[in-house]
Amino acid sequence: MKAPKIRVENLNLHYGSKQALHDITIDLPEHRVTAFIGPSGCGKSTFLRTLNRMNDLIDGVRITGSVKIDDVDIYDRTVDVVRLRKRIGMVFQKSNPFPKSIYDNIAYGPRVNGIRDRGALDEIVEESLKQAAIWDEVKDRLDESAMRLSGGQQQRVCIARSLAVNPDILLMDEPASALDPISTAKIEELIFELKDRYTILIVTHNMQQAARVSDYTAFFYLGELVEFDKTRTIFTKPGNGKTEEYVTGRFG
Amino acid sequence: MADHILTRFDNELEKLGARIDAMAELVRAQLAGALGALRDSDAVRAADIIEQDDRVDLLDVKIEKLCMRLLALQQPVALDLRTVLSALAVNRYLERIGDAAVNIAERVDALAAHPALLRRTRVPEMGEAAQSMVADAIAAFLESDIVRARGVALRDGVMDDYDRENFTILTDVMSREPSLVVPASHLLIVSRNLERLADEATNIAEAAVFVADAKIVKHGGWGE
Repeated sequence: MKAPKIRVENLNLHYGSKQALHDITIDLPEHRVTAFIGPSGCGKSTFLRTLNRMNDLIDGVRITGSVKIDDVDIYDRTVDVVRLRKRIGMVFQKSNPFPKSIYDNIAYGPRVNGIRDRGALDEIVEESLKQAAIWDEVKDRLDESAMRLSGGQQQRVCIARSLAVNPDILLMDEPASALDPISTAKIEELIFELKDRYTILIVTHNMQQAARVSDYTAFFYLGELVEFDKTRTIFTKPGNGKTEEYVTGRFG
Repeated sequence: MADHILTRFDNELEKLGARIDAMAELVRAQLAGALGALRDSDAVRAADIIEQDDRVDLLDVKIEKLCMRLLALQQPVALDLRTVLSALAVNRYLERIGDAAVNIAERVDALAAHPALLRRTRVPEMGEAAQSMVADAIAAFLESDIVRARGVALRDGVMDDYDRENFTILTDVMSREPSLVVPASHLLIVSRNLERLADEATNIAEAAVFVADAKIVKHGGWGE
């Protein structure tokens, strides 16, 4: 396996008295796509959100164990969460462009980071949109509102926006579940292209999507990590009976 | 046909085509080698052919794994589904052709002292016909050429006739010349191997039609 970008050890998460994640230990390899699958409520999205400390925003959440990115524990007191999240882009199920022009959506992050030079911003916008495989579709209307784009295009603009601040990890929570099949295929192809430069973690309800896009798959059930292996293994000969039952559609 | 949006899918399908092509080349070489060794009573060449079988087996496993991966991870449908299912089948047919070639090569030693007996049978013509059937079937499959595929299927009957003729010739030899019972028995099996191998070529041709047209033409379903 590739060197781990993220090392999670004995991670437990409680919402008040309810435990949502049980003792998760996993190494997530760099520059690979890892998919998290499992039935609703299994903890896969909660786990994804521990990786950029999104759960910190929820009252009553208690986390123990460690999450190390490049050997630094992101739950350490000294870690600046804003800087942490700059390194970790996130894309959600529902595309959420700002009600601004396409250009301003992409330039938003870099501007917040202090980049003011128009030439530099132009370059970032173009490069990000190209990486997100949407440049050709929007290059002649960068001043139009991003809200006027189709759902699939909006989602790719959101991916471009997350790339604009130059992260090294991309978290994707059901990035294609609201899209038509062709837009979905475009997002999947994009994920495949982006993995050379980013470590990508994707939560998906769509097992076939996990099979198509990911190199590794982690199966969660009832807040536990049941199995983690190469995707080709999970979908041809999983080691755990529960995984087999889930991927073959026998429960869940 | 245009490319898939998912390049990984195209890459895997291309790899599958290339591997079937490589498998076909290996098997054709095996068959040509076995028949050449038989014709020239060349035991060294025959031993080479037998040894090559490991390469065929290795590739056979690789192709099966690739097909399984494609089915499990890419969920092919329509033309893509037929392509993967057929590749799986054609791979097996090719492997059996390779096995038949090895079986022929294994008899070269026993037949080396009886070149005249070989020439009294229809095995030489049968070998030529089998090779051209295999070559055409593979080309028909790789190029989705239905006309060529049909041509292969039409020649299968001729091979059955040759085999029956060989049976008559060789059983006649056995009854008249008991000293030739052993080599004649080997030749009967060579003939039967060639006949089987032509069946496999026909199976490949039928797979070509399945990929192109989604028609299942085995068991006499070629129609008019």
